[in-house]
Amino acid sequence: MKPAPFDYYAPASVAETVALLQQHGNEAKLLAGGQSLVPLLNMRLARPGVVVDINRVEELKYIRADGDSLAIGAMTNQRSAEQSELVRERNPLLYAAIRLIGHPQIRNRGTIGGSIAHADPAAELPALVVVLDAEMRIAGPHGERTVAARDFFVTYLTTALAEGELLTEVRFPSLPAGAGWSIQEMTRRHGDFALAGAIATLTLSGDTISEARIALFGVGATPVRLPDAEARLAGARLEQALLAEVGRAVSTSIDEPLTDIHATAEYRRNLAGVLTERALIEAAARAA
Amino acid sequence: MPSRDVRLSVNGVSYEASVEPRMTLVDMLRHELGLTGTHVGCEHGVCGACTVLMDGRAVRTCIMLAVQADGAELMTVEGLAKDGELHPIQQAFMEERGLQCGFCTPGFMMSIHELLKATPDPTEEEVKDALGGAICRCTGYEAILKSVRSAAKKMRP
Amino acid sequence: MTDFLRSLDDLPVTTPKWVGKPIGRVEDPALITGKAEFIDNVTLPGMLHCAILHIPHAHARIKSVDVSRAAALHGVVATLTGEDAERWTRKM
Repeated sequence: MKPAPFDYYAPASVAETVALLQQHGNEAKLLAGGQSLVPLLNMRLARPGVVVDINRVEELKYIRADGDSLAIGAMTNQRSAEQSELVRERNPLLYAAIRLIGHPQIRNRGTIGGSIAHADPAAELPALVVVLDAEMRIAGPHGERTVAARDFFVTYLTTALAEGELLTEVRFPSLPAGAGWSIQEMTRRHGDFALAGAIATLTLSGDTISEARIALFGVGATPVRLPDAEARLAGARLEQALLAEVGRAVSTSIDEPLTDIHATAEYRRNLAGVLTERALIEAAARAA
Repeated sequence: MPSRDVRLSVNGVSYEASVEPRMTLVDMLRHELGLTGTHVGCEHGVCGACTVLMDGRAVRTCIMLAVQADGAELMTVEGLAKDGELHPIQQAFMEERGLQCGFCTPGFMMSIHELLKATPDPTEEEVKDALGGAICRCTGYEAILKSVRSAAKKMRP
Repeated sequence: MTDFLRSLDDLPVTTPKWVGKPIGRVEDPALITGKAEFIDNVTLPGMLHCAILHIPHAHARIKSVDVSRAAALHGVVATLTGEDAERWTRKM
């Protein structure tokens, strides 16, 4: 199990990277943290002719406060983000999501942008950007553009990134003041890919839910926002029965979850409902 | 693609190698540099046997390309002992029977080194979190956890 | 009968050298320093690597195996198939 031969470049800037991608077209594959790509290379499930290693593009490694949001360079490794005071203060939900990614050794190399651009349906960060309505900044041969999270994930392992483009930054809006949050996932062992997961945020006004947001991962080809459940919760009185009802509704509403060697569609459906309810309960408990 | 030069330091010693871009870092360490203490278990980043420290961080060398280590400072298991004296982590593993076949051991010890450097008095949770990504088929892990506790004690002033 | 053994109290007592003592393993120093020679560490002069290709179909009957393209690859010294194995072995 060794990679097939490939040409290799290690550009030092975004401009250089874009030029290389243009030059090599669909033969080129970007190498970020490598925690997903190199296993594929080793097993020859991916055989790009050209590997463009962007680990030397220092300009993509940063964590900045930007108004109410956090702007994180795509090549920031997950461990740096996890250990950043700014992340912990500004977005505890982002911190919690990163903590669930694999193991520290994975997070030492894996990047924020890489996980999102790779778009594994069972990954935490894609669902997180969807629930937060984050923005993806992209650089390409035609300049820069921004894509909202809801438009970014197309299908299994496929994003709105066109050939020749790379993700440069992700802007994570902060949670509304006083919002509670929760991320729940079910894995066989700690650090495994999630069989399914739910992320919820909730703001309360007294006993009334002002706003709720829910996104699921591991149940479809892309992260799934739940507008029906969110609408059901908005303006409703916070009650255990309501949260249970929403959980049940979520179970039945999911379109074609996957059956694979890890879990059946039926199990994932059930799991999604249970995790949604738990996420809502925990988010409500955290809400001020 | 023709070979690329890689210059790096491992355990304080400078090395230079000429490798194909597709060569993994673990293969370069083992076959080009003769540092065979780091092992290959799964070749897809799930077992931890290939773990070394790169610029102080535990990384899985089977899923890194050798060329990515150009300019880096690595520490492998061969760098734990100093002047023939075993590192407290090594000492602890021997005393607490943290190894049987020894194949996974170097990988575990490097992760433990990173953990104890950052967190000299880790909780059980923190230890399990740091080591959860490494697999041992022999010990059942209890002896490894005991080894970590013992190493932490030895390393605390 | 000789007075061979009147009671257990007459047994000579020795201080056990190994029994009941924790024994360090002789292999640990090599293992713990990464110096132990696992098979994959061994490199012999003229050593070749072997890659095994498993047939992707269960319960299939192999009608033929064409190794010509593999044999022509740069660096391939030899290819072995079931036919070769059959020639070199005695059927049980």
